[in-house]
Amino acid sequence: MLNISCPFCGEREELEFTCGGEAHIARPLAENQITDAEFADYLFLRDNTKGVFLERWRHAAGCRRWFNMVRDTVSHEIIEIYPMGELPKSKQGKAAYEACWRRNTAAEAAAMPKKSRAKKGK
Amino acid sequence: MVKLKNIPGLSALSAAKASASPQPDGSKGMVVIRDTGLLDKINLRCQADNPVITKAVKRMVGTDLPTAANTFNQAGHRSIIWLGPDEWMIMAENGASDDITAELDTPEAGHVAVVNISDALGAVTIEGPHARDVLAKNCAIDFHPRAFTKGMAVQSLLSHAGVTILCLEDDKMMVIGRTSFMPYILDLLSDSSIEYGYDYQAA
Amino acid sequence: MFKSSSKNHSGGDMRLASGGRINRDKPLQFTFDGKTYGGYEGDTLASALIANGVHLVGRSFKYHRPRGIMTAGSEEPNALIRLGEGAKIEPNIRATQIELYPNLKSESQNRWPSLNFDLGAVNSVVARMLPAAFYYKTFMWPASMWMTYEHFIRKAAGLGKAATDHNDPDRYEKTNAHTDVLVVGGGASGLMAALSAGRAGARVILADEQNEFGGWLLSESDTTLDGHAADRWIADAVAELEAMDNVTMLKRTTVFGYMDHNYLTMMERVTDHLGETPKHMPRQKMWKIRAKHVVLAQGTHERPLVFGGNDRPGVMLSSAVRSYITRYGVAPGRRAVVVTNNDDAYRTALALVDAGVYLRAIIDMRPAPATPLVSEAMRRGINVYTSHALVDAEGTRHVGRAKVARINPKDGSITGDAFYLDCDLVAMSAGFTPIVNLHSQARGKLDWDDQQLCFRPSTYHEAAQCVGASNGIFDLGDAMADGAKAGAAAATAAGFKGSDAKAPQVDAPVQDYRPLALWKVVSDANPGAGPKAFIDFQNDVTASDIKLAVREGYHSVEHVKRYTTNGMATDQGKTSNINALGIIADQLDDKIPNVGTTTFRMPYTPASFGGIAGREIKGLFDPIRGTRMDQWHHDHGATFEHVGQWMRAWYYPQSGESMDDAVQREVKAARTTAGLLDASTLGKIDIRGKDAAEFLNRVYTNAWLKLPVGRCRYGLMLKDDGMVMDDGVTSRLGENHFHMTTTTGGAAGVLDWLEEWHQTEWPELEVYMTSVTEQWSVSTLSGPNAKKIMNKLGCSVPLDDENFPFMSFKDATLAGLPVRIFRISFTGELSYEINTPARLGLALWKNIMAAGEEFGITPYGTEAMHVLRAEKGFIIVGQETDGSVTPQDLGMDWIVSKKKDDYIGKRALERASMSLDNRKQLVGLVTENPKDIIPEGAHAVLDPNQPMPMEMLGQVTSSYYSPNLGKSIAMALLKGGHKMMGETVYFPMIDGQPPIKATITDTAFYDPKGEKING
Repeated sequence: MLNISCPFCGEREELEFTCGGEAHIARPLAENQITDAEFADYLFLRDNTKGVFLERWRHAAGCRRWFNMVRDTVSHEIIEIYPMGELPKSKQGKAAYEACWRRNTAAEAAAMPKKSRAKKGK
Repeated sequence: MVKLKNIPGLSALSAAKASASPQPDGSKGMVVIRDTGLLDKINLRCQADNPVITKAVKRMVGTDLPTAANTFNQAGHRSIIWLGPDEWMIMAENGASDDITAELDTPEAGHVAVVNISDALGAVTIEGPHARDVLAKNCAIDFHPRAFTKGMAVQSLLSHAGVTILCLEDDKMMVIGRTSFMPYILDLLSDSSIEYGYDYQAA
Repeated sequence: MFKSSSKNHSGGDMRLASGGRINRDKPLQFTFDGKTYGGYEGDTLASALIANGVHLVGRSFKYHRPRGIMTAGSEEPNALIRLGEGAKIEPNIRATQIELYPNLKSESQNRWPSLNFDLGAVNSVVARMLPAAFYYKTFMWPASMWMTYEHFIRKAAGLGKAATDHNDPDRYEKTNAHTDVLVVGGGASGLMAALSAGRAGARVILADEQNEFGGWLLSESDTTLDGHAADRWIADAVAELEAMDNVTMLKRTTVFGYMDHNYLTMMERVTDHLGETPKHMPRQKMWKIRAKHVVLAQGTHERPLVFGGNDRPGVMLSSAVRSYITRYGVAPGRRAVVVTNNDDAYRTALALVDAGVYLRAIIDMRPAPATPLVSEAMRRGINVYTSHALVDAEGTRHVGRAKVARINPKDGSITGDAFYLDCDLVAMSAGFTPIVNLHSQARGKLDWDDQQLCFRPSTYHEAAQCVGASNGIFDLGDAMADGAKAGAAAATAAGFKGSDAKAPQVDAPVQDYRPLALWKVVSDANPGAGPKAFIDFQNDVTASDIKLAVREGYHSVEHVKRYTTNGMATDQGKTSNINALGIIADQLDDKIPNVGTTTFRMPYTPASFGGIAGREIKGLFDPIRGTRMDQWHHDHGATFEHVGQWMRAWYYPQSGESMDDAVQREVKAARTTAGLLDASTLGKIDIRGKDAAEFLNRVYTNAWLKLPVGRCRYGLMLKDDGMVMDDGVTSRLGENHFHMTTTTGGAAGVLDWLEEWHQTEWPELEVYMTSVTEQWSVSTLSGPNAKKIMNKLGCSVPLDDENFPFMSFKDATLAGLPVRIFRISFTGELSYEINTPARLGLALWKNIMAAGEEFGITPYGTEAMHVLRAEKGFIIVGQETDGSVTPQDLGMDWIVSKKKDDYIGKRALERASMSLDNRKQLVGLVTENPKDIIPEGAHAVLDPNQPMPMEMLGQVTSSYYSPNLGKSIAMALLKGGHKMMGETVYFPMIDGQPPIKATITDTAFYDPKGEKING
């Protein structure tokens, strides 16, 4: 059982948390038209990485706040915990973020407002 | 407006009868569990630096808004518990919530949510040299006297029930839970106390 | 020397006249297989049985071979005993771990009809036909026979029998603990580690599986510490540790699991040793520990030698023999042979001689051992045969003689004529294996030590350190220093200033810890013949089985393990692992480190289900939630149903009424006069903030921005895949303030859902959500007389439709109580959902019941509620929906906004596949025979006479008899159902009954125009 450091409450047992699965799946905005197949990348496809993985967690039995985690799914090492809306800062976390196939999908591009297609993490 | 204070109401544990189990030889002392009865509770959501709220809390609770995680501030019968980076709970005597709410929930305060949850939660105190042992049987928080000290408040699980646990004194804690979970919580605590002997006192 | 030569026989004939840590002033009686024996306080069942000359204590798993006590610790593979009577029966307890208590009742296992005469032993005769993987090979085909095979296999195999009375009267505890340093094992190096860490001020938990701290020091009579017997040093160390506030000392506590992030589980046997458990005390207590640092001081297991008949009662591990003599004052035999490939067994030989046992000889497989211990043995006149091996331990139910032969120690070949030594005890030693089970559970790695012939810890995955013998350091002084160092380092790592506790001056025999590397089984029989030589005693795996597996192509150690069952189950290879690896390597002509080792699994030793379950049984298995009106429902005879953790009043049968009678009476009353429902369990969420309306606009399918203050609106929530997730009525309390209701089951999930979208997707929206589910008690008054009752209760607001229209709410007082009344309806009747602060819920309910009495007000439960809403064709999320149903499928396109830019699920609903004609769509069904009630879940077909498999259209989601309509009604999800109005479908029945015939209709069965909503 993992020992997780909630960014707000501190170290707690895993049983106080729920895992929200893969992080940084940007939701396409309605204003951007994409095909059903492209939309499926957002809606259905999830990674199941062996190794460094970026995932979302929630301190369900504590402060109920969401946060992001960089975790090695093999060693269970928690490499980094960082707030919602930000990108990982650790070397391994950054690499995992950049290497993710989603970065080049139409679904992710469609998550940016038409006018300002600036880089943004979720 | 009808004043709730003036109408007899039921606490979360009104149906629970007093019960006890004898103190066996060698125990350091009985566990005493008490229903706190009707206590008013207000959930507060706002930014921690909201100046209107900070002042109103000081005025109505008598203490600062606690900003350190896992703590609560207390002044007399009123206290305010940190629940998250933008969430607190005020506890006060029965009937106090209307006045407190009126002071906090003002247009000047901006983006706040002040919600009366007096009846949504119940609470018991648990007291005695074995109080920490009893809690540790059902909750994975570190209750060692070095780790859980007076003035701390944690939200966690007591077996299957979500709870907030306050350290009132070295050997006195308060367990706050959802009203409908309170009979279960009381059963858990008293069953866990049989080893040391316990006395449950209704409000 | 023996007790039998003295007058007092109470402790058994084989009891030594003096010595041991038993209390000779406290004789105890116990029974084994119905016979009464005597022992002493401080005995284990094993030592007491041996003291009474009882060695045969069980039959083996597969061959039903007679088995005796082999060890003196938790690694015991043979002596598995059934303890207790009735509901307290516990099987498979190691006799070596059972502390003797007065009137202990024990039984042998795995034998029928008796231990001495066991019919299953025929397996041993036909053993040639029961090779490794016999079951896999034999019972594979035909598959249809498996059920038959399984029946007999289960009968023949299996370890022990559990209690058939399932009302275990004992209490079990579970607790959590946090510590800076957890020390596993309270032997010499564990105590040193605890002293170092404890003195530094760190929080320390020291757990030891035995009844006393001290470990193997308790079994050594030839060792002094600081010039005194070892027990004096132990007593001092224990006293010092016990006096420390920061140290928790746990005896009889086995750490059995080691998981991620230094999370460990251990079982404390709190009162097992008392026999009678005091009522207030638990029998066992499971600890769940989070440690900053772990020190593993588990010691070693001695390995058995692999020779023919090495499982025969009377053949024991050498160290165990020493332990029985020194610790328990028992001689395990009268005429002993010691057989070894290392120095350590010489200490046993000397202990045997000192105890007055006739030592026939030491059989040493080594060619020319010249160590101080060998010299000492020779000096004392003991026969030492070097370059000799034991070929067969012969006997029937006990060893009677040892067959010995000269060997070539290089290859194990026999080089001389065999000779026999009469004996009733063989003490064997093949060297020592550091106990790395927990280290391995925690994914620690191992290195092969080709001097000491064992795996020792190399790298660690967790913050842990193995010390002493479990770190491969066998010299006592070095091991103690190792423990002290690790304890200090652990305390330092946890933030304390640790320094090594000073190890005592050790005076013990100098020993060579390098055993002879010879993995060949010495045998004079042809290959495949000869006596059985066991590797894994508990799972009945022989050396031949391992060899066969390798010959059949299983070269991976993990495969050999599964194929032969070596090292599986509760034993986890404690005594067998290295011997098996040695034989595999030998067969493959390879080296052990290349073969590798299997992974040790949890639990280290078996843990009771009672302890694992703790108090989470019966009433405390799961919380049961009740509303404030619960007691009233009970008092009025309600039957309850589970809705999640809630127990809701289901129906209120009056005397003599069946469930159908009661439900129909309740349903009728709600339509003809008035019904009252406890709706307190509905989820309620207070939503505040200037973006609250916008937020609702995004989470519901319909429009929310323009809902006037004071009004209510029904809303449907979708997941982002477009499927219906929850529904409910939300009311606008103020410009920026809403009160949302959810389904009972969806309450927690919906709040989590809203928080997730707010926190992770739209943090820019200014909105706060707070659960107020339990702040309010809700009494729902429904029926044509509802308004009259409200007026009678002195409702403080006018109730006419103009002032208080449908889908609006008012704050008011009712019967003098503060209330918030929502004029919404789930029955289709004039209806008021009356909310009051929960403390007043019961008072309000009672007031309404009293006021309604003259009108025949009837309390109704959840079943009547279901019928009432079905009559109106209202859906229940989770009943009409299953996560694959869209609003359009439900015929609820009217609630889906076409104008909104976005809401959760919008894009998904626009997918081409969502508008296919053959999607399952919600329709009503009316049966041809109005009395036929289609079972919920029944599948519809167009032609009931078509060949199977039939083409199925979909399934019934709700089905009831409607007393108000006088006929059966149902709803179903049918493929293309919306275009099939008026068509006939059939529901084939599984019980041979004729299919039920029904017509597809609209779902609004009752009052389709909604005329009754205003009373």
